[in-house]
Amino acid sequence: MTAIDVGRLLGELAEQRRDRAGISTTALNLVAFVEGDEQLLHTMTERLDMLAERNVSRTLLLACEECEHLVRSHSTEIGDTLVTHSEQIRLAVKDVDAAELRSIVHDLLVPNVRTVLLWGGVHVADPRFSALAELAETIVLFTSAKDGGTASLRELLRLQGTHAEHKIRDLAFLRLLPWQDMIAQFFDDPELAAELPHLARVEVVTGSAPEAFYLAGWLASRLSWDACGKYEFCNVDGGTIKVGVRQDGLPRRVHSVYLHSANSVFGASTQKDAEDLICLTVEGAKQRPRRCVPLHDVDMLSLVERAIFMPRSDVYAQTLHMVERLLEHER
Amino acid sequence: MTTTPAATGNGAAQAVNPLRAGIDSTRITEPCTIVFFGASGDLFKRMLMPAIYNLRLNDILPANFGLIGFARSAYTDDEFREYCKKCVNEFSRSGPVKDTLWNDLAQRISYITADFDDTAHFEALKKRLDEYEEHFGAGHNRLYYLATPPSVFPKIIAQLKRAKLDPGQNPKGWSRIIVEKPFGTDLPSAQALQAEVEKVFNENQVYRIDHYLGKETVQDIMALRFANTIFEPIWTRNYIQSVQITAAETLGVEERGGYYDNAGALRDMIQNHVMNLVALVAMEPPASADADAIRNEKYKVFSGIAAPAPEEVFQMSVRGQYDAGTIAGQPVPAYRSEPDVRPDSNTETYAALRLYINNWRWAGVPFYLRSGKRLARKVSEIAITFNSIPHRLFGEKSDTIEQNVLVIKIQPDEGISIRFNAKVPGQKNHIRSVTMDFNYGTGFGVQSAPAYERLIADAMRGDATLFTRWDAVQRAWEIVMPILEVWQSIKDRSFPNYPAGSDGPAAAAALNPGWRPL
Repeated sequence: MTAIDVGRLLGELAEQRRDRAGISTTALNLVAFVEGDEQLLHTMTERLDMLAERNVSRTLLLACEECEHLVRSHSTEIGDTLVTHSEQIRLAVKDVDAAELRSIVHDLLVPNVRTVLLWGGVHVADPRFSALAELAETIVLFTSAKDGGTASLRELLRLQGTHAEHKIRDLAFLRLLPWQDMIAQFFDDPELAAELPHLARVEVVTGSAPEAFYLAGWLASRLSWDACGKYEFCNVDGGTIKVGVRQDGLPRRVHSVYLHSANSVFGASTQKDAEDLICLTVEGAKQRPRRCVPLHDVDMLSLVERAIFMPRSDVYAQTLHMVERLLEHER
Repeated sequence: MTTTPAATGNGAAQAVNPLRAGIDSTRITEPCTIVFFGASGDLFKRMLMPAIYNLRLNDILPANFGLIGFARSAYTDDEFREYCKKCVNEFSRSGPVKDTLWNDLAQRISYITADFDDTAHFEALKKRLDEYEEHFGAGHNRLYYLATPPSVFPKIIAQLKRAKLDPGQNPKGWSRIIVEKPFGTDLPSAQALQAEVEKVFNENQVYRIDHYLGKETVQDIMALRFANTIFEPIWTRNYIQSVQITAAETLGVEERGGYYDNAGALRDMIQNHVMNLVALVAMEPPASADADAIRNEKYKVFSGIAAPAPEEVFQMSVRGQYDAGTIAGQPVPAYRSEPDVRPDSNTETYAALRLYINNWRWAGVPFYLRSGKRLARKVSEIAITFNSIPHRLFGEKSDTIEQNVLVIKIQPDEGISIRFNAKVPGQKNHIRSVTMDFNYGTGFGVQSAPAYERLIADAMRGDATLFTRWDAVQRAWEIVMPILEVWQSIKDRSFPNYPAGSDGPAAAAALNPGWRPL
């Protein structure tokens, strides 16, 4: 039995709404679970506030640390009306078991509104994950938030085939969107596109392993490669593509991607003096002028919004399959 | 690697980029060079160059992009780049340029000091475009932007053909032209301009810009109507009493007195901006989101509006001109005292019309349109007033049961509001009207991009949805021409007939007693 009194919490919210006598148009329930990561808890608290400012929502922040239960709401005066933009409930759930947690969260959600679970727990094998996942339409994972290795990516792969599979969005993959777009940009030029079948080496430098594996898996899924050895893909003509994955620099950041063909090297890399810029180079037989472009929308808020509002794509499923194939050969 | 034969115009097979699949990106992928005619002018300085920079900053411009300025003022390439940087620093919504990005963009900018009468300067432009193709991989795709005074448009278009810069001479890529408003000053001049345009460009290569259509809320009219099921069933004469479209400004003519005195509110606002809003509110659901499907429906709305007979003009229209008055606590001069305005000017600074659309959906529903300068408040909105309830059940005798009103707010606060009636809590049965507001700024927490950014990018993408097609322009002129002719031939002796800072001339109340207060 927990000390969490759902009736009292809902009563406090109702009280705050009545005080404001305005409009609340909640469109989203956000359930964030954070465990054993002070930094993530801090970032999550901050970002959830910002997210709520942009998307009218009720947020349940479930922290596994000791903390006071907290209920608050935020409203804005628009003309002569007060509009409630967000409601936040923070709970300490360290000693709450899975069944109880599910029941509490269920009762605190706004009914008939989309629910998103942001899972910052240690393991997805945790029964509390399954309990909360049942309540959510979308599950956001942070595979590169933990150890920086491939352990959480492997755990995610184990969710394939479960009821959660199609709900999952991984921020580590979503973070790659601008990189994918920039790599694709090289090959919008038909002359350079002719090099794609001749790629022989991929080098990725990232701060955490999941991003690197996702990038390699994405390339493989797009170019019909299959894993055929340790850090090695084969293309449909039987040619091999070596994959170089190196961990360096700040966690969760992608630092550079280089694609080598027989004739040319295509490079995209961040700049030491301007981290929000990526410079693109094509060297070798088909050289092009160096070009720098801004790196957009890789902050956590944009990523979470993308996770919530973008439908799950086949590209992600196919990428994940290639990541799985690559990791199989790693053993 | 997949290759498919693509319609490139030269029969060559074009490679399909397999890495593009599934990437949700707003970037324009086709290479392109944009040529700004009139690049030393005010529009380029305040709107166009800042828009280009922001498109670059947001990574929407294609990787292989070039910009060529073409105007009378004398600049070297370096001086023009410096000028462009100054334009961005002064007028961009994103603040001063970021140097690394700017340096990359600047190298793709050049300038030609030109006399529009001299074909040699257009030939120099052709040579420059060829150099861009070679140096920047900017391809053969060309977007010409006419940002000059309208009187020069026909000259530029003719010179493009003479210098072999027309689409017919560019089989390896596309050539498009953006024509700034006004497209003509009346029906004959619009037809004459169109005749010149047609000699060089096909209709699908012409992008007539009306920046109002690039505004987020204007685009949202279609989303409101066709992405919801609750509005469309009541969007008819059976439920709607009237539609009111207002485009009111507190500003006077500023430095545009010379232009405005030859134009007036009817030409400057009603014929283009306001009529486009009428089309978006009244159109039938298009079969698809394709540009022509939408523009077909818009044209049908205009074809359902009868042009008034001369004797009907004063019954369906009101004109006004502002006198001296007070705006925001400051005295402002009368229109006739503004710089470059004739002291006995008969030009209207306020126009209000009542139109009917003769079709099954709208027959008998008045569309009230008004636009004016130096009015009490800056506001652009569409207000749809629904019928009164058929039978009163609730409320005390003293209560007024107001009609439901849906307001689409275009500026300054972009959003949507609905007025409805609710019971006041308590023992008594009082009914009071309340308003529910949706505001773009707070609803989505994102700032709308200026219209020019959207429209320039759409023209590069070849998406003409937000641009006006010739048949609609022509029909809009046909509708307003009888009013223009009557107003021009009969001088209004009551001018000036409204004080600056008011809601407009008193006569407007006779046209529509239910104008929403400004």
